[in-house]
Amino acid sequence: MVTATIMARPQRWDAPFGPEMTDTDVERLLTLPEIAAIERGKFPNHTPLVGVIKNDSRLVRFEAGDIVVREGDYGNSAFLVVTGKLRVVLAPKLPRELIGRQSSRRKGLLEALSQIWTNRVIPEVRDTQRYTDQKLRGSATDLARSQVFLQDVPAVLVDHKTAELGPGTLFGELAALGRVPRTATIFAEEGAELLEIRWQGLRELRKYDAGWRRKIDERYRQNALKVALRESPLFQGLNETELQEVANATLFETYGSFDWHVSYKRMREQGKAEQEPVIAREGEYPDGVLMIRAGFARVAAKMGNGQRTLTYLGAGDTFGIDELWAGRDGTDVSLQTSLIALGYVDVLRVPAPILEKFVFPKMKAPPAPLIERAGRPLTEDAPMEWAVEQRFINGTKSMLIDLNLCVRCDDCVRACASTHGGNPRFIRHGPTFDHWMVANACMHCADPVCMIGCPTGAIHRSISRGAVVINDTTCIGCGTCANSCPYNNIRLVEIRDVGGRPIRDPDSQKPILKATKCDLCETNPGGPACVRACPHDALRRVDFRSGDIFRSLG
Amino acid sequence: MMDPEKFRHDSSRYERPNLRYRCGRGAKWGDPCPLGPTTKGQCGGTSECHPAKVGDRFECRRPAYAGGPCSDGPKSDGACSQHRPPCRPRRTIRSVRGILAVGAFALVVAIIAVFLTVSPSSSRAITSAGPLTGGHANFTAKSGCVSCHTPHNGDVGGWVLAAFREDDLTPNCLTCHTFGGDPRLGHNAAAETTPRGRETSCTECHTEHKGESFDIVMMPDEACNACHKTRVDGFSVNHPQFGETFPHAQRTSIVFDHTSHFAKHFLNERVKDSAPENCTTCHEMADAVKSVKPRNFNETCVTCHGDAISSRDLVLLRLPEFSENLLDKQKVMGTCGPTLDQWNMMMEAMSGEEGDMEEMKSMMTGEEEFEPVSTEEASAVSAYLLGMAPDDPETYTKPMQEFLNRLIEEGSAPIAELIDQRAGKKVSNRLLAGLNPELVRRVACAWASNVEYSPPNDPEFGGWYGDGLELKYRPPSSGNHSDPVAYEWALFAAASQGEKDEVLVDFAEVMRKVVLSRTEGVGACTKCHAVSDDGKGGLEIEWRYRETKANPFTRFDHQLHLTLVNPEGVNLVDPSAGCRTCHTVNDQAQYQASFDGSDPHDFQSNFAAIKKETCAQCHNRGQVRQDCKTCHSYHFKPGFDLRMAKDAK
Amino acid sequence: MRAEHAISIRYFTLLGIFVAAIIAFTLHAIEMPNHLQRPEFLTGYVMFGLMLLVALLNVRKKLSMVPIGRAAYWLAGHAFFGVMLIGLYFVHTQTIWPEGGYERAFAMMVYLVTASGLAGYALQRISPRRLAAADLEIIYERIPAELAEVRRKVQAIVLESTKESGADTLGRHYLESLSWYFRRPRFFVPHLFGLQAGQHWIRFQVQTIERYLSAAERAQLTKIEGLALYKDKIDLHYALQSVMKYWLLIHVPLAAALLALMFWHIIAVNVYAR
Repeated sequence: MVTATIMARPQRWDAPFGPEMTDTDVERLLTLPEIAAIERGKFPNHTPLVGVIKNDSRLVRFEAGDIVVREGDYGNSAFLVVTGKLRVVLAPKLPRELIGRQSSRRKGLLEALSQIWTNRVIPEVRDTQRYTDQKLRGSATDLARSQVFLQDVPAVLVDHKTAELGPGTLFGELAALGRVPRTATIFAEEGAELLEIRWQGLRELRKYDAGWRRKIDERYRQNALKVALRESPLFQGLNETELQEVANATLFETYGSFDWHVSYKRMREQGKAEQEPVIAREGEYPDGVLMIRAGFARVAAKMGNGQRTLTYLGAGDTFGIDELWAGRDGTDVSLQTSLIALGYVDVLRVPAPILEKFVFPKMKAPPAPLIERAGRPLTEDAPMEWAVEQRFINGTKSMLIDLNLCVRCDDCVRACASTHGGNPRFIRHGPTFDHWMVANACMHCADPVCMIGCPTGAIHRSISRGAVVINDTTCIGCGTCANSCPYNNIRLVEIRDVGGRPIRDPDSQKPILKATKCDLCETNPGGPACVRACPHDALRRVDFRSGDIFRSLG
Repeated sequence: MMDPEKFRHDSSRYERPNLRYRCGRGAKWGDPCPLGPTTKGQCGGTSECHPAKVGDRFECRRPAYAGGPCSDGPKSDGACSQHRPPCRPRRTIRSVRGILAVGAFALVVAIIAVFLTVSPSSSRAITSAGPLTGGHANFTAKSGCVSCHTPHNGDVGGWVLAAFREDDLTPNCLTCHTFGGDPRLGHNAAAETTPRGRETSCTECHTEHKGESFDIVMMPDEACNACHKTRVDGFSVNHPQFGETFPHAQRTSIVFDHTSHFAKHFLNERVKDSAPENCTTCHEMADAVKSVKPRNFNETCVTCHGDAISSRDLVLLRLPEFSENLLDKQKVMGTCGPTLDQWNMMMEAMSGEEGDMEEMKSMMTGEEEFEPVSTEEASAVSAYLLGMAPDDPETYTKPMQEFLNRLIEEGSAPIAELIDQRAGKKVSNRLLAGLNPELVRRVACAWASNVEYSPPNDPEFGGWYGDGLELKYRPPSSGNHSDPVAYEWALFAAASQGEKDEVLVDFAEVMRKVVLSRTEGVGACTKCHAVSDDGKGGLEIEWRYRETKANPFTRFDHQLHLTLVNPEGVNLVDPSAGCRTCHTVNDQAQYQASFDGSDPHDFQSNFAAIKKETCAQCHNRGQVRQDCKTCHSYHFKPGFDLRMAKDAK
Repeated sequence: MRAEHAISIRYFTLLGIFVAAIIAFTLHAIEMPNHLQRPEFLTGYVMFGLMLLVALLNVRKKLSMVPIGRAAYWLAGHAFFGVMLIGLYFVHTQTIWPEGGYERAFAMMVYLVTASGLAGYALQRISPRRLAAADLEIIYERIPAELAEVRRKVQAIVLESTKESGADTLGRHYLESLSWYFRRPRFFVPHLFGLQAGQHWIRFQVQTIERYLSAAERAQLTKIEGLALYKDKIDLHYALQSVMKYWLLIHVPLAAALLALMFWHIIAVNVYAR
């Protein structure tokens, strides 16, 4: 523990990432070549390097076969191999069951129909036979140590092409910093010791140490940047060399907090709005186009004492192109709108000269500028403004109920229950605005914070339809996802046996919990049953980003 | 707004609207416990948790949504320390609804079952579609439904069988209702046009069980249009025009030319005063329905035509011109006695010169040239009776003279014989009634002697008489307008239409032409009585006024119309104008010519055909009814079987 | 998003064909007596088919787990064909009030089910807007718990006020008048008709007791008033949501009885009227 002379140390250090980290561990780590190379002097006094290592990282040990990271998981930490040997699976990808996912097999029509007599009245009944097949090390109480492990490592090595990761390898920083799902599964071939650095620590290292910054940025530039650029319509017409030049010139910026959901919850509960960081301010002169790489930002124009949202941008959207285009002949055109981060935003900045050289010559004039939207009546945009404020824009399948049509019959809840063994997976209540309600059902967010930190990989994004689902079999009921969800859309339930008695853990006698949430009726034919069941067409699963969703049909 | 703090994921649980019970305390607006009833409907909140034994201690396991572990902890024996008296959970609204729905269904089924089994009257109440019409209700009360419906067994099998079998009520209707024809064919098959082979049933048009005062015989026009190809939407709208000679289907049986009578005869000075004033003078209105019968001859026509009957004679026999004399003169003289000339000659011969004697001898032997006294043809009657052409002396001389031979010996018997032969039955006594055989002999004798017959006196009272070359009959003029002999001769002549003999057929026709001639026929019968085809290939003489043929399906009641007023405001009873509203005289019609032939349907009426428009003056939309049933009926001779009166069933 | 919920051309065409068929059929049935054919059997069986279709809504509501068409379309079809059945009913019976015992019961059922259905449909179009305008959302099953909490809060305020001020004015008034209000949902009928009887009553209660209270007590009274007005909104929800649930307790059981009578009618006419 660093002495008390440090002023204003980061608050998060009150809850260190690895409470068992000792000074000895820190000393040992400082001897590692990668860390030894860091220039300590560059770190400010309130965040010294040793503090970062002690509070923002931890040592984790893995036995042979343990899975370190699963492909598709969201994570907020990077790993540095200290000792041992790891393997990263390249091709073919590991079968999904091996890494804790469920196979989303869709029921046939007859099987779906049979639910009418197989559904139970007793809530949350489970067939515990299914659970005994799981390869789960550790128990529900020792959550930090629970791992899904591979039983047959040699077989995996034979069947899949892998690469070795030895001491000194850094991996996972892309996911930690970039809110990108893990791209591959990495497991320990033999016993290994890793230094897990949470994203805050990683950010500090990148900020203050040139070597780490270079390493991290280069990795990103190599692996992900060009892909992101190529996907944008702005750079469509460029060839390989031109794109490389653009990539070389691109700058990375991050705004807002990765843990935005924490402060958002606080806001919901206490009513205090969080401060939204301004990325680009109205009236300033743009020096490059901003491209959102991850997260959300809103485009706003000054309105009275506040900022009126004109639209919001997500991954792939650009900001500032109108003004730069208008000013390409040399005149200075200032920004007509501001870009404000919502929670957390990763931004790429492509400098104006690069644009003028490579992009503008091939580009057509952009369509009507956003500022024209400011002419619309305030009431028209009010619901959207509200949705942005509530961060519902994160959702791709938010449950929107038109209260002018809803007769409060609960047919939707019953339908949800009928496709889940008699257990509904949402509650028909939620924040309301005018005659709209966003119900307490999983919104299958574009930025799924719930997926960060699941120890077993039970919560994952289904490949087929992109829904966020929880594998009931591998879930250990730790509650990480439920606590993370900013909207309380995930609930832990006590599971029962067929007689209705709660199933208890044999050691602690505590009831076994499982996380549950809306799964978009993945395993059921026909898509979400709630939409189908509403007799007055009042319920829809909407993506707030797409079009005019607040036009009521009633 | 939903309070997010209250409904955090760790302090609340899912709402389950599919549960069947809810907390009884909440139902009574008390303080509902968060645990809720069990799925079986019992209170689930009597104790707040199920304590767990960890090691050797019991720990509270109250769930987070109910408040988390309690501060008191479990009792030492492991039971929960937080108790509350049980509530009585109530069913949710949905659960009650399901029970009510099933219950309602079952209740209805139970009520039906009870009604079916308790008593026949309750059974009727649950199956009957309504009360019967008054008439039917009264006589079916005793035997019930089976008066009309086919009985079926009361068990399930019986019902099922009955449901699939057709219940034909028509035979039951026919136990009381009778018709003039087949009840299952259109119009009871009484119309000449065949319905399209389609069988009908009573229930096709008549519906029962519609209440006591329901009119079961009411039939809308559409029922008629269902079969009739020519659609009629209303009489004045598109009912077909009446027939060209409506309302007369054939010529009258009595030849009465209204035109000539109105125009000429009634105006004749001699009879002007006794001429009828108007239609009703002759036509009897008192009991007229479809036809308005003229009164008897003796009440009407006799005034002018009373003595017409004796104006024409029947020529039974005529001495024709013979080509030769085949008669045995001596025989004739022997049978008949000499003629006057012969007598004179004989006297002369006996008293006189030789020349006379030789004249007589030659006369007696017939050597002198025969000079027939007659230059006439034979009578048409004799042509038929004897089967000889009346205008060809070569053919008729022999048979005629043979006939004369017989007549001089036997009198009228041969005639009678021939008549009976021709007629095929004994009618001669009637045809020759009053004919003195002696007269026949004398006449025959005269003719056989080649002299004309001179009658002793003038037949001023009619009857059979001989005159010169003819043996005739004159109907006596007694003021009675029928004469039996003339009557029989007319019948005989009409019957000869059926003559089958090839040779006689032509002669029969000749006879008929004369005897039944309108201008020459005996008694002038056929001047007024029509001679018509009888429909079977023969002829008949229409002695009586023929009533209008009853069209079984069309009605017209003169009486009903008499009380009315025509559109011009004339009271139809008014004899001078009333009848003419519909019956207008057609001056141009060739009425008399209709009676030249024997086909009664080939005719022209004195009266212009009554057009539909005449009736439509009153029978049209908004005025008098114009539905089909106004004039037409469907059934042919509907009646009741008397058995109905005895309540036989 | 809009296109996902617009009624698809396919459904419209299908519906249009069906409707045209029904209309054509009805006209044919009206024509039939003109050909001495009895249309009752044809219209009856068509009605039977339509009735089964209409009654299938109940089954569909339990079958949301299989994709057999959106419940909203089924309901629209139910209402639409129900209305068509009214027309067909009169074509079939040719009268408003038939003869015969069970047929009258049958007719009565038809009228009651139709009336309750139309009334219920109207209710369900009108009530949601009124509920949304109340600016409060509460799930029906939670109302007892919520009311219990309000009651607890009010009682706590009254007790606190009594303790602070030493006077029992508020307490007495609560026992005399206010407790009646907080015991359970009140002013059911006025809420149904959109009348403000509840608010009026609260205002009256406040004005009654105000003059006897000290400043501190008045502050507590204001809090109680706030809770009372909040409860008034809950009462509105209770009234409207109750009616939106209870009307089906009339419509569905009557419809079940109607179905039973319908089957009996088919048996009876096949046994006796054919």
